Amino acid sequence: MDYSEGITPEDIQVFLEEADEQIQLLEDDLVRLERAEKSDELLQEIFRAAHTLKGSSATLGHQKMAELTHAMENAFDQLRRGAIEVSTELMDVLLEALDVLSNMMEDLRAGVDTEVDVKGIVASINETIRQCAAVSEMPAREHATAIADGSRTANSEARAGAQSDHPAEDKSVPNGRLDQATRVVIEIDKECLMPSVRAFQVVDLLASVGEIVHSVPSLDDIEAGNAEYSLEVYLDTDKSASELKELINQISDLSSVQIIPAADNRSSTSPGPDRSVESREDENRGQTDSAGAEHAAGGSQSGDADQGRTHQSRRGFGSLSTTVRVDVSKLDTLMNLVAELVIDRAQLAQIVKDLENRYDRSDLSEALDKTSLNVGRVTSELQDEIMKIRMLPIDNVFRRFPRMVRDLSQELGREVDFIIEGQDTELDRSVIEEIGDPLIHLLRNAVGHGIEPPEERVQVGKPRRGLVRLRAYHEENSIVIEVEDDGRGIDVDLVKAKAIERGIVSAEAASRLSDREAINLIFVPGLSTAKKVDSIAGRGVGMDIVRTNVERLNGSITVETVKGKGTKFRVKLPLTLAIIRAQLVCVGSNIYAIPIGSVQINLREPESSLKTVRGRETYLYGDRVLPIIRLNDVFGVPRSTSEDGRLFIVVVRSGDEMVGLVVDRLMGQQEIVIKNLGGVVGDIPGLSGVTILGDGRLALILDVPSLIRSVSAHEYAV
Amino acid sequence: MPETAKSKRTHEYVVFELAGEYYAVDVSPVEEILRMAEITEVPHAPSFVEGIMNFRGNVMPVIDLRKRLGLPTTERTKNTRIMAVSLETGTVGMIVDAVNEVTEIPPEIVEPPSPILKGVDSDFLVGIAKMAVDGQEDRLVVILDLVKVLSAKSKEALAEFTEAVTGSDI
Repeated sequence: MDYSEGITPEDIQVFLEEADEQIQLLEDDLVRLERAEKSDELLQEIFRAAHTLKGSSATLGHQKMAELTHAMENAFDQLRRGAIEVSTELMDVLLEALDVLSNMMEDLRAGVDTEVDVKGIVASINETIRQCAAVSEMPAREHATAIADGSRTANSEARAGAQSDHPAEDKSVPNGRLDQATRVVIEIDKECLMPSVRAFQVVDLLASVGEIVHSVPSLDDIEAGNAEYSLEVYLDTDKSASELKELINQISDLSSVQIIPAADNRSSTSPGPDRSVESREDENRGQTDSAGAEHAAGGSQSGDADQGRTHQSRRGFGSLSTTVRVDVSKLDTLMNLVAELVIDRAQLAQIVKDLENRYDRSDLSEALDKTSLNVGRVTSELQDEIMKIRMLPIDNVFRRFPRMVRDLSQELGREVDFIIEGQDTELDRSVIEEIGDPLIHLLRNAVGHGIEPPEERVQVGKPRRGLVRLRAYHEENSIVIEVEDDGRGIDVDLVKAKAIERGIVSAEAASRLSDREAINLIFVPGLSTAKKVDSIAGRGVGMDIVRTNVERLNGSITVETVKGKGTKFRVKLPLTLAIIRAQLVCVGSNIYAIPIGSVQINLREPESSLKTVRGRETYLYGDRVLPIIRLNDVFGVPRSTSEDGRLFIVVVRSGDEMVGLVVDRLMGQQEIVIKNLGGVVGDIPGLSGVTILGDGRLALILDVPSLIRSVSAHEYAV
Repeated sequence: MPETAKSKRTHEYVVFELAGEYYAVDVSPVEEILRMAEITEVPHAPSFVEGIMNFRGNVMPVIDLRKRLGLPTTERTKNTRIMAVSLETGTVGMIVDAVNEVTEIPPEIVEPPSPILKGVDSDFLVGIAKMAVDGQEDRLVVILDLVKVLSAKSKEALAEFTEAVTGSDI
C-alpha cells in the first residue's frame, strides 16, 4: 500500500483510532437520522465527521478511503444543505459505505493491501444522491448552513479548485475585516504526527462557529495536508474568547492556544504592520522558519512575545486535554499488582494477630497494627480507584445495537422501536468484552421470535410497531441488564412439550414443574421452539450458550414472560471479575470459597430436618423445598459426623433456583482474588477457580451455577 | 559431539532421583527447588496432578513425576523435593524423590539415545551421561527434555519411553 511519504506505523495507529471513533459516530448518527431525529446539529455533526475522515485519509495517502469518504462527505453535504432528503435508500447506501470503510480499516489494521473495490459503492452513492434530489427550496437551508458553516463558501471553492491556490483569502481580504476579526493563534505539539489533521480540525471547528476571514496557512494548504505546526486564523464570530478556547481545547495535540479578541487586533496590526514585521524578523533571526516569509498580516508566533498585551508564557496554555489514552495491558498489570496487595494485606493482618497472640501487645505491636490498618485502608482505596479506571460505560457495547436491530428488523419485515436506557452505567472492561455476544443473541431473539409481524400485531390489538427495550442499571454490587419486548411471549406449554419430545424431561417430571421452573428449560441445550430453523435466531443452541457465558462471568440470567404480552430477560453481573467477596467454608481438609453474590443465607440445622424426597435429600426453606447437595460427596471426602447432630447448610442461588450445600464448617467471609486453576489441572466440574487466602493457603472457588444445575439434571432425568 | 546433533553447549543441569534412577534436566527453566509443602488437593483432577500450591503468591499446579512417567508411587521422605519449573504456560511443580546436585554436564560424556530406544518417542530424551553423582563414580544419568515430558500429550508415549529407559540395559 502506498501511503504518503513519511507515514510511520504510529501515524497509521493514530489514524485508525481516530477514524474508528468517527465511523462509530457516523453509524450512530445515521441511525438517529433515519429515525427522523433530523436536526441541523446532527447533520452538521455527520458532515464534520465525514469531512475529518476525508481529510485524514487523504493525509495518510489512502487513495481508496479518500475517494470513498469524499463521496460520503458529498452526500452529507447535500443533506445538510437540503438538496436531498433522508430516505431509506440513501441510508442504506450510506450505511453500506460505512461497512466498506470498516473493511478497509480492518485491512489497514492487519497490514494487508485492501482489495475492496470502492468504485462500485461510490457510484451507488452518487446515483442515489441524484435520485434523491428533492425539489424543496434551497434558500431556507442555505441560510441555516451559511451560519453554521461560515467558511462554506471558502471551503467549497477550495474543494472545487483543489489544484489552484485560492485567491479569496490571501489577497482580497481588506484589512478592515481583519481588524474586526478574532485572531486565533495555535501551536501544534511538535510531537504530533499529523499536524495537518489537527490544523484541519481547528479550522473546521472555527468555521462552524463563525466565518474564517483569513488563515495562515491557507485553507487550501491545510486541506492539501501542507499545514505546519503553526496556525493562525482570523475569525468573524460572536463567540467570546473563553468560549472559543473551550471549543478548541477539545482538539488534542495543541501545545498552545491564543485567542486575541477583535478590539485588540486593531491596536496591534494597524499602527504597526511594520513593527510586527520587524520584531518578527528579529525573533526569526537564526530560525529556519521558511514559512514565515510568506505570512501576511498575521505574522508568525514569535512576533507576539513582545506585543505587550498578550500573555507571558505561551507554554501555560498547553493542550488541556483532561483524558489520557492508556494501553489496556497496563491496566491489567496494575490490576494484578493490586490483587497481590490485597492478598498481602490480609496476610499482614493475620501476622499482626499472630504476633499479638504470641507476644502480648506492646507499643511495637500496636504501631505495627496501626500501620497495617493503614496499609489496608490505602490498599482498599487503591483497589477502588483502579477498578474505577477499568470501568467503562456499557454504551461501549450498546452502541452497535441500534444499527443491528435496524438491519434485522428490515430483514425480517418487523417494525421495531428500539429504546436504550442506562447506557452510561459502568462496568469492568473484562465484563464488557464478554457480555456483547449474549446480548446480541437476546436482542436477535426479541426481534426475530418475540416481536410479531406488523399485521399480526394489529390483528391482536397491539400497536403496529413493536417495542424492544434494552436497559442497564446498578443494583447493589451488580449491574443488571434487561432485554424486554412486547411481543408474543414464550409459550410455556410449547417449551414443556419440546423438552419432553427432546428427551430432556420426562412427561411426569414436566407435569410437576411450575411455570417458573418450566420457563428455565429454554436454557437447556438442544431445545428449540423455533417453528422453522432460521439462521437469524439460531436453532435453540443459543440460549444455553447465553447462560453459560453469563455464568462464566459469575452472573445469572432469568426470564419473565406472559404469553401474548411479551418477554423480559434479566441478566445480573458482578461489577468486576477479578476480586470478589466470598464465604469460606471447610469441606474435609480443603477450604472452599463461595461468591457472596450466590449466597442466600447460612443455616445451622439438625440433620433430622432433612427430608428425603424421591431419593434426594431436601430441606424446607420457607415454602420452598430445596435440594441438598453434600459437598463431601461431590468432592470425594468422607462425611464428618457433627457432635451436636447439626449441619451447616449454605443456601446458594443462581437465577431463580436455590440449593442447600452441606459443608463441614463455616469460616467467615473474605475478599478474594480469583485465579485460574490453569491448564495442567484443567476444568473441574463444580469449581470455577482458586484463590490465595490471607494466610497463604489456597481455597477452591465453587461454581455455584453448575452445582445447582447438576441437581436439576438429576431432577429431570427421563 | 557431531554437529548434526543438537548442539550442546556446556551448561548446567539439575540431577535428581526418581525411583532409583538418576535423571537430569536443563537448569534454565528451573525456578526453585522446594521442600515438600502443603499441597491443596484438587478433587477430580487428572491422576498425576497431586494438587496445587502457593508459589510466590501464584497458584502452581504440582505434578507427581513418578505418576507422570508411569512409575509406581512411593512414600514421601525428608528428601522429597518439588522442582518449580517454568513452562510456556506457567510454572509447574514436579515432585521428585531427591535432588542431588546442580552440575555441568559436558557434551562429550553425553551419549545420544540408544538404538534400543528407537521406536519410542525419543523426543523426551536428550541423551544419557555416564558421570559421577554424589561422589559415586560411573552412574548413568538420563537427560530429559523436561518441557517435552511435562507437555507430552500422550500418556502412552511417556509410559513406553519410561519403560524403555528404565527397563533397558544401556
